[in-house]
Amino acid sequence: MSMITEPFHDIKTERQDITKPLPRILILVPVLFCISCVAAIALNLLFFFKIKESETAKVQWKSKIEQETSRKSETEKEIELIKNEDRRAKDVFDWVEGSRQLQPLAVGVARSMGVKSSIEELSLVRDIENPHQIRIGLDFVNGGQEQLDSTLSAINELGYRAYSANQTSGQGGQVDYQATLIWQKIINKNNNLSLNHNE
Amino acid sequence: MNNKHFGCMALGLFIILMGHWTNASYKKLRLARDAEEISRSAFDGAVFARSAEQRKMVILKNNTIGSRKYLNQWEPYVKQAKNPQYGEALINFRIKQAGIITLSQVYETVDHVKGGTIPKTLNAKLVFEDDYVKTLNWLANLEGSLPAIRVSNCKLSKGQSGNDIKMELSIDIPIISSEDGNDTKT
Repeated sequence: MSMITEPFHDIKTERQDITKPLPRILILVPVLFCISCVAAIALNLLFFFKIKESETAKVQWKSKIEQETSRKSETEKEIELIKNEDRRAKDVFDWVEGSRQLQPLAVGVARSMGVKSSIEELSLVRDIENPHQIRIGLDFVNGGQEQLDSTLSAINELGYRAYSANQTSGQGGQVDYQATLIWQKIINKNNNLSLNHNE
Repeated sequence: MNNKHFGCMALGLFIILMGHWTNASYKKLRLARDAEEISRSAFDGAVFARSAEQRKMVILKNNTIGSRKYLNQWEPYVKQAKNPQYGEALINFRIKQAGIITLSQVYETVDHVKGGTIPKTLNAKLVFEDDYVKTLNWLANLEGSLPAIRVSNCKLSKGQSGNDIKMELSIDIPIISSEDGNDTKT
């Protein structure tokens, strides 16, 4: 008895393809599609995280820039303060230089007078434009030129030098002397400024 | 064209779309990186500008150290008279303290330099007649205790009797009120 090899239930007859098969090379299309799907998802995820990272870094840089800008503006304010202080120091220096004590000068002139000489009038007037210049007017009797030299020497010892001197001698040994006194010990503004009353 | 071709084309189209999507994301990444790079460069610029400014400040500080020290020494004296009334009281106090004979005293507030450190001064015109030593000592004490005052005019002449002298003074006292707002220190 011969065995029937064909399955009994396969009653479907062999059919011809309805459409022609695609070329075998196009088997790559679904493979490429799969690879593309995986690669696209992976790359996009990677890019997404990198973009986030860059954006975070950008925000951090911006905040650092703001900090730097604020520090810079603080420094600028401090520079302005320093400049302002320097300007004030110069104004104060100009004021102080024009405010040197007159009493030592008056006393110096008075003490330089000899026994026979006497001061009739002594005036010490500061120049309005240049207050460090003092206009001295000395009116004294007796002693003549010798006395005047002694007085000028006392004035020089106090650090003043007489310019534009004008001297007239009157009757009875009266001498009228006028000059502009300029302080000789003017020190550099920025280096050795000191209190004038301590000198 | 059959449905297999269409299927193939659809897959191909999907591949192209995914390529575009990936490319667009990459472009976004590049833009983000460029923006980050620009921010980093801007930060470098900001650091450079801040450092330059700080260097400038240090140099300025070193260059002005003398004048600022000078200001610190002198400012308390220059600010001794906060207003004209206070300046007047200061002079009056010195006169009363010494018991010096005063013939006249006139006070007047004068504009000094507008917008300057010393905007106003109090001008005091004083006439004394007393003992020579007492009068000149008083002047020395006044100039010593109020070193910022400026004696702009001093006229000495003989007094009515004995050892007396007549002293005519014109004194300028700087007036710096606290409203002038120059109290900031570095």
